Amino acid sequence: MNYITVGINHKTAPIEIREKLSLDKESQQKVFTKALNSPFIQEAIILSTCNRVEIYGVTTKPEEAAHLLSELLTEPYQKEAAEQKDWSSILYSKKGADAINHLFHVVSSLDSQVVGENQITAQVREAYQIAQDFSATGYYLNKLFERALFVAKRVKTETDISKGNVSIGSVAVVLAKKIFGSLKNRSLLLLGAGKIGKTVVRHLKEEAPEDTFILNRTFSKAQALQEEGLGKAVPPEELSQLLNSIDVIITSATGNVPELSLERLKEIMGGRKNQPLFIIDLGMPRNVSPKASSVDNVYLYNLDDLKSITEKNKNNRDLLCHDAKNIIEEEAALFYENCLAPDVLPTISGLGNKFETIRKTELKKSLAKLVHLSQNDIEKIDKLTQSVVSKILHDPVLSLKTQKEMTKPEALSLFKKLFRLDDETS
Amino acid sequence: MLLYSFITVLGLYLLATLFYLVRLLTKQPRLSAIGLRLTVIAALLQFVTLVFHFFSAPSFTQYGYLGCFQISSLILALIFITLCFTKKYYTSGPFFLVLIVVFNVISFSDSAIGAHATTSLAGLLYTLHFAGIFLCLSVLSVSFISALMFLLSEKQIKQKRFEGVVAKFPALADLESTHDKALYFGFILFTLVIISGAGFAKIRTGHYIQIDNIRQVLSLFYWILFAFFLNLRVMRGWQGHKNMLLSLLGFSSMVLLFIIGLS
Repeated sequence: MNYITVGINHKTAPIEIREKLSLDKESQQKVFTKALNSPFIQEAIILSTCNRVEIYGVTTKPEEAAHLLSELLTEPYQKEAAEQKDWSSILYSKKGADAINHLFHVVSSLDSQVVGENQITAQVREAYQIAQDFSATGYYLNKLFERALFVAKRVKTETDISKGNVSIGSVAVVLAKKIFGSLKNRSLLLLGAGKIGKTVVRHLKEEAPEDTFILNRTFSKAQALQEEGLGKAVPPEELSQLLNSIDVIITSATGNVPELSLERLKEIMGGRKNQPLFIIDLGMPRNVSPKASSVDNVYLYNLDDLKSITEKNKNNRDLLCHDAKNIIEEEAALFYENCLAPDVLPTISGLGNKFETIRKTELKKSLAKLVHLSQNDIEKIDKLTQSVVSKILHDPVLSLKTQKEMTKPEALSLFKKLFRLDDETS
Repeated sequence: MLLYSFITVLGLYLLATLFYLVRLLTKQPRLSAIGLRLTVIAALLQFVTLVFHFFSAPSFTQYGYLGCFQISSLILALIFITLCFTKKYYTSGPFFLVLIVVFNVISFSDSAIGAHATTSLAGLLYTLHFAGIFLCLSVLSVSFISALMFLLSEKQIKQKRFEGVVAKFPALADLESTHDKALYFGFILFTLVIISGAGFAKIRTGHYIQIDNIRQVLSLFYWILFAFFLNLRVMRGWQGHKNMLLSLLGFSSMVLLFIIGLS
């Protein structure tokens, strides 16, 4: 069995492609059915967020599985596109230890647009839950995702990575302050009930705006958010009136919002005497046309636009990322070690046993000649030899744990021959 | 002695400007702090020197360009220092300091004014007129600087790219608010300049305005244009980018008018 992941993310694909490949629950069901009905995929989980679309799978034939998952992922785009697109620079495919390592990076937000944000962990948990609902997971993916969520928790508690000004919400606050100075006496409008939108509104509300309105096509959803204390629910009919006075709009609806089309925005800006309007478009696909940015006094930001701020943030967080990466590497190695137990672990333990036997035998011989040594000296020499053996074994053991080439039967066989381990491990 | 003191003030402002300009290149915030301290010291010294200068020439009509431009630069320096401490306008240093230095340099092209002020009323009106011009210019310089900073900052926000010192400019709303206040106050001063100028002209020539005097006609034309612009801002809600561009254009015209007035 081997782990595999195929996907795109904010680093490899622009928002225009990501929004076309994003998979809602209905589309996910179709992908699950196709993948699990194939002979190459035994288990699958789909992670579809604003910044990434990835399929994780378990397979016995990684090459064929990668090909199949790539096809399934790009299918929605190819259906609409007139000609075949070259996906080689956009799609990535990772196998074995790389796939595990990648998931641990993703779930710990080290691969996020805003490093240190907390939302991705919840999104991974949700993706895992959805896959379980579809009965798409089994022993291997359950084990991997449960470990991944544990790793995210470890990274969060053992490093300062999620502290400070890094979440999308915080970035939105910084931008709003750059335009308005203070959010006091300003009003916010949340369009749609997307999770990310709610998070952003919560951050903005910390700046004590005068009013916060929530508008959703389904009024009951807006009312539910009102009960959560997020703001005042308003019926959809009041949108046109609200747009004349609102200062910040956060959209996380599904599909276009006709009231925020380029033409309508021009009319609205005239009606509100060109009071500045800050629009944060968090929808996927985007809710507001990018051309709206050309309207005077309209400041439009979508998820990709946050890059300019988060990139700077990323540099400041390199040191913290370093600690988080150490945890991830340690956890990934440990997890991979457990996965490889049938073949690799006996080899590693055999190597360790052989060297330990040699160490003890040679130490015993030497100590027999060094009778004048005190007990304290003997203990020191014992520790010294242990340390030397440990240092010598460190690199070959690490290679066995982390280099996927080393896990191939031929390589393992050669390794055993090199150290004459057959007797010890058999 | 006073001249040496004014030269020292100029030297200090030049040094502060240098610190601000080097800060732009090196991105060392400490240089801004040094620049601000130097500006405060220069402004204090300038104030003391001007007080002595005033005592040595008690009548405004004897005050000369030196005093007037020195007052303008002091007002600008004080506005800059106030904005730094109240609205964190540290990044506006290079803009303000350059103008302060320009005013200072012009002030040394000394010449007598008020030669035509023959009566005490004429003297008063001329004092109001002349002081108003320099005050108006100083205040409108603040709106000019704010407009310039607004446009640079807005460009970065629109382009979603935050780099250099512009990224540290105050918020757009704060810049616009400073700009608007300076613009309205500048208009009041401009009105004062027009009225006092007309009064002085009436005493001197018997007419409030002479059609063949290009300076007077242009001044009135600009005042009407200025009033029309401010009215449109309120009625049509001209804000942001276009408003700032118009403001820059207006300020440039005012400077032109000022140069014509001086010549």
